Amino acid sequence: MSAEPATLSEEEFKEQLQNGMMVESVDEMTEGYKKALKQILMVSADTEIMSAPAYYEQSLNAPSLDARASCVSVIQDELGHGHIAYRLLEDLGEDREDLIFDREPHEFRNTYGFDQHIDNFAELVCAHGMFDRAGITLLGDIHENTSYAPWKRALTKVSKEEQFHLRHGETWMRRLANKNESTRQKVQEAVDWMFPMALEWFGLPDDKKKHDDQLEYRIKGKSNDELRQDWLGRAMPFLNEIGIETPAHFDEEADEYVIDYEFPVAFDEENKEWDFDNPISWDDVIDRWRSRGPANEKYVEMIQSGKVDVMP
Amino acid sequence: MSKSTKTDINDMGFGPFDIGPDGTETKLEREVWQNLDEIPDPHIPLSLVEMAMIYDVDVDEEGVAQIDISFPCMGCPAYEFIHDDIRGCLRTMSGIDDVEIDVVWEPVWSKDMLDDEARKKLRESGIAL
Repeated sequence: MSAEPATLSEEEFKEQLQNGMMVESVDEMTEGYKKALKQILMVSADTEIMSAPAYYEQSLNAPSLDARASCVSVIQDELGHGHIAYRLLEDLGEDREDLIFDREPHEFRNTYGFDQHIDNFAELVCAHGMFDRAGITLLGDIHENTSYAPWKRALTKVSKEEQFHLRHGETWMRRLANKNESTRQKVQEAVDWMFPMALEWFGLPDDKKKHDDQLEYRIKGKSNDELRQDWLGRAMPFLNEIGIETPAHFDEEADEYVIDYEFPVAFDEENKEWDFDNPISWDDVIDRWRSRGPANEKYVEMIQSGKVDVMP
Repeated sequence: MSKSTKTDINDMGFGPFDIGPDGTETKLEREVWQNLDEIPDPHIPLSLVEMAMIYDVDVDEEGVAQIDISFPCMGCPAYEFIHDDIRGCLRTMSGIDDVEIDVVWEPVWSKDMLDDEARKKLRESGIAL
């Protein structure tokens, strides 16, 4: 540290971080940094833990013992990743128990994708293949670029495990896509609603964001649009290869992936269908996220009902 | 990664366990060990050889590679991937015509089979032993 954060303005602190300074503990943070870090850690922790109940039911429906062992292991990993992130929040003054067990369902900040019911095995492996891919994209950037050293260290283990989830997901997506027309169709139907949801996951387009504290404090290194392109750049070639259609394509001239509809659009939660002819504003998207999705209460209940009070 | 690229294959240490290369390997068998040492464990940042999961390698006159492997736990979540990776890796080797994998449980895999380098890598990635 070249100076105590209390003596630095937020702007000066941001400048030092941009020059490569790492932060080790809460004593070295400005209030602004702490707030921005807490916010992104909360989303990360809640997303990891809520993927566990989302993945649970269909993991028990896996078509082989090996597949089931893999699926259950993914759940165990996700709970571990959640634990790591809540533990980091504890260093910032939060209480792990309160965060997990004493919040109302609508107070969780997990990604909207894990507020959805996962209704068959094809949807489960597509979630492993596409949602975990989104997780890897976001956390991979943080692992590489973050200024918060404890998070960077913790993500070594997380990244390796997420790679396993992704491989499991893509292996099964490929198998189902190649097996017969009926299983291929199941994958296509899952991708139809999950693909646009993954695109939304990365948040507001850069030109709609006035400023981004998480970037300015170098808590993450890449902008929302850069991360969305990274995800597309890896997910699209795979989906094309297994013959699954997506509402996006690579534009040679622009040298980037382009979404084939007016992004974002309205989502029919009940039928898990996107209304591509009905564009909405990002305010509408954020309202939809804030009111939480159809499985939010059920999933939070699954996590919270697991608590056992042990007599002292 | 890898154990065999850094040290001579004869020096691979697996503690007091009768696993791993014993110095009587043919040239082809040494190459098989080296290739197996390039296969990452799908879940842990070590190779299968560093994880001490490969117990024995034998290549017969017909070019059939017989691989004895074990797993740290019986319900290994990556059981199928590891089989696929071993087959995929060895089948491309010249001199290998087929791959047979035998899963063995004797000796029972133990953390004591991990050498210092492997332990260090696990610690660095946040995995407690």
